[in-house]
Amino acid sequence: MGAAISALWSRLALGILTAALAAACSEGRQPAATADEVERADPSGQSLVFWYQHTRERETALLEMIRDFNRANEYGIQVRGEYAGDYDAVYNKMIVGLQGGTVPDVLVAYQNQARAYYAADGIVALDPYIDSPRWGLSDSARADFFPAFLQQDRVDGVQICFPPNRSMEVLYYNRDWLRELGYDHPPQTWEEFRQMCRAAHRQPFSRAQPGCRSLGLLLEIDASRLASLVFAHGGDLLSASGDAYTLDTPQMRAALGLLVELARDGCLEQLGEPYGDQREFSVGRVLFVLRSSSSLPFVAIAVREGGLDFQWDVAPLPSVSGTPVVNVYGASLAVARTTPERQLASWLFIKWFTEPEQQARWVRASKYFPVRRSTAASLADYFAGDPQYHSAYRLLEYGRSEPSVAGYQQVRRMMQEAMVGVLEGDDVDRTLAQLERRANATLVDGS
Amino acid sequence: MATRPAGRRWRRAAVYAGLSLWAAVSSFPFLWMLLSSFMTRGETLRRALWPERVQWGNYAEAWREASFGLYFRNSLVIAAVQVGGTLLFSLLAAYPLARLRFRGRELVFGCVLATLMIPESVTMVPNFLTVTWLHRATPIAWLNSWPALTVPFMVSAFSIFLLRQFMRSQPSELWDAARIDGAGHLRFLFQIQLPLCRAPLLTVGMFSFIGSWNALAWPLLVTNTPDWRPISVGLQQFVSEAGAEVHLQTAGACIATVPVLVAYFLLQREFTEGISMAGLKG
Repeated sequence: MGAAISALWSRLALGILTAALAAACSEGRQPAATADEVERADPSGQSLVFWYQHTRERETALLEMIRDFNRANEYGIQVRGEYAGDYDAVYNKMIVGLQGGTVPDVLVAYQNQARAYYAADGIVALDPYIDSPRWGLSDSARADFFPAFLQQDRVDGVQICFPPNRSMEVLYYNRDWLRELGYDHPPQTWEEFRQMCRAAHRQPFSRAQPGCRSLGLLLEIDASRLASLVFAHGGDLLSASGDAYTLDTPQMRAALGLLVELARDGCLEQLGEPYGDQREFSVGRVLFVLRSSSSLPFVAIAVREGGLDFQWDVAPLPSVSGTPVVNVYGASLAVARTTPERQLASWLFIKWFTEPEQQARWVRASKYFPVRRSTAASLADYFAGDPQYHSAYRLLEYGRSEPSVAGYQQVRRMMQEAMVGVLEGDDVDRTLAQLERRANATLVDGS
Repeated sequence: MATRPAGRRWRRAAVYAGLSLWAAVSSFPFLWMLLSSFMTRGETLRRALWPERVQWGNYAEAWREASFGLYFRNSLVIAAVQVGGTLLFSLLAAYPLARLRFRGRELVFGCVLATLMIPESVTMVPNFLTVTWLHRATPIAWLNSWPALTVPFMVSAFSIFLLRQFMRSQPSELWDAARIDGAGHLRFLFQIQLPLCRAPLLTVGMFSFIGSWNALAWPLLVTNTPDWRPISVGLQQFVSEAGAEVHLQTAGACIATVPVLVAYFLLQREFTEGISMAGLKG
């Protein structure tokens, strides 16, 4: 009963925020800046505000880079970086700010969030800036970007945000434990993955504390984890035309069936606390962990300080096609609708941030992946010093992405509910049929 | 000397045993937080029960890395202003609802109570629009300053309810006697009623203090720089999208908890008394 009331209030709160957004949308979108307007705009002397979510080392590095930009840019543009909370807090702040007229110039946004801002006319299309002969990207610079990354930020043919970095879902594995189990490689097929998980459950890691649980996979209930499994089984979450969710598919059944089977055999458990999988991995109680590559530095520290000193690495999930498929994602940078001069200055900051030199600097500080191929040339020493990062970097070419439709955040919650339901014994057919119907209803609502 | 019947002694022992068990269970999270704050990161990862060597440095690092000095000061100022405002406005609202007879009094009180059903997240947008408008329309800087952090929370339906319930329990002869002595409503409220309301006022103050101290979403919404951000934002520094630094997070949480614990221990008796007087216990 309490949970139901809590859910009701959560929906009401969500409804209020959505209503706020709808109110913002109702005024209609202003036309995108014309090429001529962009060419004539003067960014000199603009002061910008940049909302981000980074903390600690990443924030320190980002602020240093902003200082360098402020010192070096020839137009006297001054950027002020402001921590605005985590991704959800930034989203709430922007949605409410759109109503109150208190928006930043540049902000981090996932694609579905950016789509919502764009629908509310809160951010501008970046194509006129990218294409501008005076301010934009040269052909060679454009070709240097990983095409999939730019594509992720395009909605209906419009570049609504721009990627500063990317992460991906990778399979962290305990190499020493795998050797003890008789394998000298990460899983190549799903059958091998099953066997490894079962073997890990039967034969705990020799250096782990005796008497503790021994698992093949500790799974965080998260839509990105499920999306990765579906991609690796050859499926997708959205139809090719982008107008319908494809959640009731054989690939989704195979992905969920695998999880149910492993859970039934006792070699998979659901994660009960935030980041608990990193900890369990570091103390040798779980063979595989599936999570974002942005956790690489945390896992490295955890393994080093966990006291077991074992070798580990990352790999893609087994793929039914034989070619790796990884779920690549990451928040991008969006430019708020302000004045032509401020918008141009914001674009120039983003352009500077994605230059190979700045990308290399950001990669070293953040361990994110760069968005331009040429960055790799200046990272040779870094790759050598961090083999796990290099393993993951090599997978960038095989990236797939989750839907960037506006209501996807809501669908993510539905997918997570379905994951829990199926793992706890709900009927798969009924659950997936219902999931797809509810997900498609969000597309109708959002259109 | 009469001895207690054995059955009664056993019952009492069982009650004490149950309460002790409950106290142990309730205090476990705090104990875990305290112990973790003295551990190395490796020990928190291994889920050690006890730190091998006490890491006092965690506290210094947490204080330094998250600008706790500034956030701590901000939280104290924000809490003090909010508590002061809540006490004043709650008292002024509760008095007429308890003492004065006017048409629609119960309806007004019902409306006040109805606002208890609305969660903070729902009022966030209208509150934000209001403070944004005030920021633009008045010479006072509301955003990025203490007014936006305190004023929207100075009126609390729960506080009004608590004080009103207490005032209604006071004998009406007090007011009659004050009137004979020539006192008006304001004089009666502040010179006679206020000292009698010490326990519920302290309870209201305590709730308001805790609410202000723990606030996170609203401060992030109305501030853009650390100048007026509270300690809860500082604690966020130790969590990122990729992981948490539990040893520093718990050290920071211990620092942040100290003022709440001190306030509670100082006001413990009045706090409990205030709750029971308003008929909220059990």
